[in-house]
Amino acid sequence: MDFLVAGLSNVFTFESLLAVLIGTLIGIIMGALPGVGPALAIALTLPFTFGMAPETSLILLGSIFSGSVYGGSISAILINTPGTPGNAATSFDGYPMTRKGEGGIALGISAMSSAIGGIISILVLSFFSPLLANIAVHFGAAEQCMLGLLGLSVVSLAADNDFLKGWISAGLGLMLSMVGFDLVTGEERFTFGWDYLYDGLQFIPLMVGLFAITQVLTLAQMKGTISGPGHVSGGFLKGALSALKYRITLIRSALIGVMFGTVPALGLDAAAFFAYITEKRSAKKEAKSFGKGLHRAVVAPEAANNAVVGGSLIPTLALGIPGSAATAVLLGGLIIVGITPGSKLFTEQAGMVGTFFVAMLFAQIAFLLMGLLFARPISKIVTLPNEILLSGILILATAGSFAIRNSLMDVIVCLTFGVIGYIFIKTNFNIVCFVLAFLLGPIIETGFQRALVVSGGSYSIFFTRPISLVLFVLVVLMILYGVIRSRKKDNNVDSSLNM
Amino acid sequence: MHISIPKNSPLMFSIILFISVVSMVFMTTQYNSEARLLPQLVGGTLSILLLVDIVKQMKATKKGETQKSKTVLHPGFEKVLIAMPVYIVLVSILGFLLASAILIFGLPVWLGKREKTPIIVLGSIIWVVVFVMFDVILNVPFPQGILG
Repeated sequence: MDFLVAGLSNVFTFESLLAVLIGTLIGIIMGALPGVGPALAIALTLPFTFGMAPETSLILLGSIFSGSVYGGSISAILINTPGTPGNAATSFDGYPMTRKGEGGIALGISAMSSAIGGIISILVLSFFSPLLANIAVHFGAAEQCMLGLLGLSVVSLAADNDFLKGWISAGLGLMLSMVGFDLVTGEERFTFGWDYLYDGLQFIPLMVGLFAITQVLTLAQMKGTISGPGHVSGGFLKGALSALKYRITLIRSALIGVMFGTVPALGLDAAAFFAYITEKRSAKKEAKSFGKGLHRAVVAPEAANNAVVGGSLIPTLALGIPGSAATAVLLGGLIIVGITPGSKLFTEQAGMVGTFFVAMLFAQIAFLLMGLLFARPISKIVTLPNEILLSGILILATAGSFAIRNSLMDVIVCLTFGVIGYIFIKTNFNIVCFVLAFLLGPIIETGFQRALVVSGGSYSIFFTRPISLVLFVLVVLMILYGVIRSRKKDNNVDSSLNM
Repeated sequence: MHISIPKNSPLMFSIILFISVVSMVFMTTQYNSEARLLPQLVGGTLSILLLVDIVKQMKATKKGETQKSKTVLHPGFEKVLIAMPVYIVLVSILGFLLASAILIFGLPVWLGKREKTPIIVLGSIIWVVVFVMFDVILNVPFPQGILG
């Protein structure tokens, strides 16, 4: 742990603390913009760091990374438009809280949960990096496929209201995730000869459409403001303290985030959805109140998505394998300032690594303080008349979708999926299951095909490797549990109708 | 005239999905064996699930458990549905910034917001924020339009 002590002395300077504050602020603003996200935020700041001292540059990049993941929750909570895909699950209960006039409280819960999730993940990163890096080494293609399937099997729990439609939604998400060039064989699938579809449907325009444009269509049918005739509470501090009541949720969700972060490609979104659904399962009596503005339902995804940050840095730093676009860009930045990933990192470059870790710890505290200062003015956004707000969301969603690849087609996809999302809601299909399957689809398929290549076409690879086998058994159990639960529920409904 | 949702719209939507998925499964026959394996597996399973859903809904309709009458949509919904494609056309003709200005000031008025001051003040703030963040800071090359 000597590297943390060395890092502390580097961060405790005026210049470094200023870099933490500026980096966190940039991260929060960028994260709150739909479609921008951590990868773009880090990439845009990278050129500015070239003239800086290596330590300052590291501090700035680490703070931007943490701040941007938290920033996405602000727009998710206040206007039901997640800034990053990782904040989509936060909007399920965060936005209903805003509608009840508790936007400030939701922001407080989100900031505190994100901070604690982030702190736990960085502590895990600091203490268990070498061990977790060893586990990640054993994750081959078969395990990646099974882990993706395990994530997908969560649909059994997420499709609470209609099991069948939940799985249909997931199936549709999987089918659409296969559009474009097959990642392993290069075969062109479901493109209809249309160039735009060669790279597949892009996740961010699709996600912005499903959440933001659906929200625009809903707002179009409501007069007044999101927060209703009531007032917008401040309540940030109250919310922040309220999050502390859910200690088990915080720790469990943070560990889910670290676990998902450690496995390349699983990422923020999958971790947040998994934590949300796990929380719903463990809530028992309160499970029915999920989606109606429950505090613990905001705590879980926010603690998880910020914990992914630390988890994702484990393979990035220990093995040089970035698990996401954000860590890939960050890795580039780290190499520029002289950090070489690998097993010797924690001994030969201890000071630099320590500086980076401590800066990220400070960033968690910084966004908590910034939330306290700016929550009230920010939450005023929900008092805007719906007619103006929906026009603003429409423009923001359009700009965010366009900014990913500078493509007007991405905007059209975003608007189209907005309408599809609205039809989904009206016909009882499940958007969460659809999104979860869409993002896990490529992970499952790539893992599946690569495993078959490795085994020479034999399916036994999925059942002869211990970790893969354990994951497979968990998948089967999870689906069986969902089926039994759904049947029980149907029987209960039938018996209550016959009474 | 207002758009209305027919009472059996969930059933119709499921049938449309079923036809689309079955067509996708047929398309996979042209792909190589590795590339078609998972789409066929997922598509086949999905077709069965959709068929079960359709049968379930038809039974419910027979029993009279479905919605009794069609739902008429709010006029604001129709206006936004029309505004979205019009906005895209405007973006390609006038460019993103001008088209967005028209949308942010025009759509609230069309939706029935009568007070001009909040539209002008708040609309200007939103437009400036989008312009500064995406155009100035992020340097996003927004479409300039044919006239731009």
